[in-house]
Amino acid sequence: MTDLRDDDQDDEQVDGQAIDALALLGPNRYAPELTWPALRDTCRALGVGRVVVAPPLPPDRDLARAGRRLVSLAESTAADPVRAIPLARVDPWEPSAAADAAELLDSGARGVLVHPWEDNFRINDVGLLTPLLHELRAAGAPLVVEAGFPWVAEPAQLADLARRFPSVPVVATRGGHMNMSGLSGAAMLAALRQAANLHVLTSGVYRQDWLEQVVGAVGADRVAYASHAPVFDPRLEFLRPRALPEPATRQAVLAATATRLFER
Amino acid sequence: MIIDFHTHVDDVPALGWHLAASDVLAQMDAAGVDQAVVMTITDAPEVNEDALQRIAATCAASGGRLHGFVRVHPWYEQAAELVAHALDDLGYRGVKLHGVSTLADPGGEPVLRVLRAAAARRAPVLFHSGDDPFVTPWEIAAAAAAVPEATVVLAHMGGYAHTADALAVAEEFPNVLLDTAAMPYPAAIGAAVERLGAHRVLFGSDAPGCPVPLELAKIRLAGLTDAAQALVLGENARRLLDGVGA
Repeated sequence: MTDLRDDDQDDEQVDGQAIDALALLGPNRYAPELTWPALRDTCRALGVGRVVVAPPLPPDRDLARAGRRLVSLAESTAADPVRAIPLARVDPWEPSAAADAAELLDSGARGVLVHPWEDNFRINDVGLLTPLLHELRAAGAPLVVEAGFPWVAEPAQLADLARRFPSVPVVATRGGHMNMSGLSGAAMLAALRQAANLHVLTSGVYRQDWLEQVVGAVGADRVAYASHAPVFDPRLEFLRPRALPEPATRQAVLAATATRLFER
Repeated sequence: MIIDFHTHVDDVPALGWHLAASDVLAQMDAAGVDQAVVMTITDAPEVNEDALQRIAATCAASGGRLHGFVRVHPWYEQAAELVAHALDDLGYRGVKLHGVSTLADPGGEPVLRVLRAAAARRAPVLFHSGDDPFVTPWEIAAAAAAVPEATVVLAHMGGYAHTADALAVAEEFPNVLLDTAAMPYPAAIGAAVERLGAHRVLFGSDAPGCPVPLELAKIRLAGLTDAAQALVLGENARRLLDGVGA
């Protein structure tokens, strides 16, 4: 794989220190499987030393088993140059969702991913999500939300959830973007201003100056780089944080924010 | 020759947006881009009454590097006249329409009137396409079908969730091309070239908000042959721009 690092850029966070804050690893009902060797090789080529991995929806829909696989992977890569940081994934409609999340958080998962679009729930359906949020609060772990979907994971809905559980970090994929007209970018910035525990991942965001605007408005500690592979292409996504003008901002987005969120 | 088919210059104090031609040119220089299509983000005659003259002056001062596309609001009775004036008298090379900012139905008569004015001058019409009402590819297909002599370009290749629709529309309507601006999937560019041919895909950045170097890297990640890449990066744009008024 081509090394896409910019040798002219003075950036100490590339060369193994950067964290990819989300990749969807394993058998995937809706897309070709992203395997660990493929993801690891991509991370090596980009200079990423740690990668947060979560299960996509597996063909057998057994999210608990998929989560346990990632916890085992994290244990087996703990001393490797590229290390996996596991997330659990649950479907809140499943009666065992909160208990499954608790078990996986106890065994090494560093947070929980939910996908309101694939699993058909509103992210601010408080009645449905409260048991899960209580487990996350008890574990001091973040909720990662597949965001950018109309009706179920809109920016204002994310802010509503985050405000109701202020001690739980809520992390939105895709910068919360649902469109390329600039509308959801504005809505997500408003959401970030409303909820101090709401964060965004950089994958696929519309406009680099939006990222810079978010950093200026709420701080780089609310923004983390994520490839969101295989939905997005890590070779392109890695260029977004690398294009941020300030070294301190790049350091935060490429490593510090994700370290604080996922390396408790 | 690299031509960026999608950049913006405008000044909208109400939004705090100041998109300067110097910023666009600086990004082009950093990325090795020779020329660019430039347009406002407001829809004439709304907001900035002197928009046509400002873009024309910007292009005239660029030493041939910037080519203006006139962005109009189709609801206004004079929209087609503005297009004709821009193309006939002010040196513009195309038209931009944005269904989100104008709420103009792509298949409605106000839009078709603009499209016909452009087609009469062989000027391409760049439609914002994406994930909102009035800008999805199949809605814009109604315009392409109604005015088959018009050259319709779907900016952003359908945005986040409508890239497959953008490709399908372009397959069905031979007068539809795609621009790559801001669309985040390099593989979709490869798929578009494979299914439509490289002559139907145009490199665009959406600068200055979207960095030209990053958007250019996206094309180079798409796995195109050298010949296909040359078409996408510049030859297709050159063909469209040179064809205006011919």
